[in-house]
Amino acid sequence: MSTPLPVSNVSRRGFLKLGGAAALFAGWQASSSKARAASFPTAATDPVYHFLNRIS
Amino acid sequence: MRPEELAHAKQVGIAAYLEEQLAPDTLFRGKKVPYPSILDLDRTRLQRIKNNAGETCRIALITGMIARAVNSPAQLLERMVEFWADHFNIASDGLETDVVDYQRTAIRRNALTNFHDLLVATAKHPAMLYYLDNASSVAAHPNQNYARELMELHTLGVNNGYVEADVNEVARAFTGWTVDDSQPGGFRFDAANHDTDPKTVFGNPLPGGRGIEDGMDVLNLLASHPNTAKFVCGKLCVRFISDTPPQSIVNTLATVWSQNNGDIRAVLRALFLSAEFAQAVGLKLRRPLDFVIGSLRATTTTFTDFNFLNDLLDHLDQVPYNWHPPNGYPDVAGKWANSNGLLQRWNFSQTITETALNSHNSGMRTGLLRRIGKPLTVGQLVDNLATVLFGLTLDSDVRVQLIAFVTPNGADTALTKTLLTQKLGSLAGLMLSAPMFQWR
Repeated sequence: MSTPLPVSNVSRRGFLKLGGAAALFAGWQASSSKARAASFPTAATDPVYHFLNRIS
Repeated sequence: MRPEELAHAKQVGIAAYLEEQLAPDTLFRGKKVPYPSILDLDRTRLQRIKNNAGETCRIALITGMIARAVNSPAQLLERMVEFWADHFNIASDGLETDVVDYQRTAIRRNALTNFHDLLVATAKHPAMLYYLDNASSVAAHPNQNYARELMELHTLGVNNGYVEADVNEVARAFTGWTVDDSQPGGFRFDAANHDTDPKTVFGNPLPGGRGIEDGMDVLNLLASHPNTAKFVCGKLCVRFISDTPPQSIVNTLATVWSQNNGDIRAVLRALFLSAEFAQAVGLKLRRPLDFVIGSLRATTTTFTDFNFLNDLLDHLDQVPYNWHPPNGYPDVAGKWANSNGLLQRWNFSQTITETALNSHNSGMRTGLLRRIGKPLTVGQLVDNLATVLFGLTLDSDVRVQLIAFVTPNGADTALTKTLLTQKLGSLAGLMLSAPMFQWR
């Protein structure tokens, strides 16, 4: 694995300017599967979508 | 995924869609997915490439792998080609021309057939014979590399039904399996360098005085061994269900495997129609390459500059065919979910959207603007992008956050040309960066 980029690079790329949308990422590295599944808008409602998403 | 694929799957149903994917030849309907023609050359013709053959083949391997994964209607075939390429990993470095042929004739050709055939095809291929040194293994000096990895990585699993003495015996069984460029396919059994003494493999006697039958018997024993069934089925479950799949589904698949003599389609059918698979939504982190392919499929962005694509894959730590150990790229989130990996994904997302849309000579082309229809409001833009990128309708709380990223004035804000130009790329990049696109 390569080493993490310096913070200045993050800033240069502009990701610190994403503002309120950063809340979208709260579950990105969540340790519990329940928390991660909660980040799926249609987790329980569309089995065909999830089927395709996982075999393609 | 692409909306038209989702619509088709909903029309025919999961089981019928899976059957289509398990018979990929029926999916092309006369259409060919564009990929470098070099990938269809046989080994003899590949060896005739004169100028910079290694780099030419490396570029063809990478661009072809991504082109097929992005554009092929046979999506499951591409996933399985990737799975077996990891399982029977060979780094292309120094073996590029042979790896082109290996991927076509050993991996792709057998990806949905039978494990025994796949195992034999890999064992006899010059790329494997060179990569794990069996090409130079002779009776006087048996080389154990292939024998050890054959049992540890390709079939039984580490310390799972063999002992050190078996490694020695299997290595002796494969002495004389070598490469001869004058032979079709490049494989030759060299009887003069084969150890003809009797051998015992996992308690099974192999009589003396024989030739290629020794190695073939070993492959037959390993392909039908119950530990092979459990080991490979376990890896399939880790790839498609979770990093720690329930033992129940591994056992079920191993039983299906044994009952069907290693028929890969039968095992996949049982896997994808299982309750364990259906219940395991969101447990697998896309590996970097899966993320790249999914992003390119969603945005219809293509790279016109190979070196740019190669650099981005390198930053993500997953250049195809570039994992040097024989165990293949890691398959669990713990190997990929780190701060640098996340940052590189965000960078990649913004590159193939914001940069592709707004920078001249970017080394990319994107059809993203054409794919979003004609939204009149910010809310419609977010909804259309959700359909294009994810194939779904967003939950309201996620939708609100994305709208707020575009404008503080709410969903009904008129989408002016200026606002669209300013925000489309970064909004699409943000959506590709979100957790819902990383986990599946």
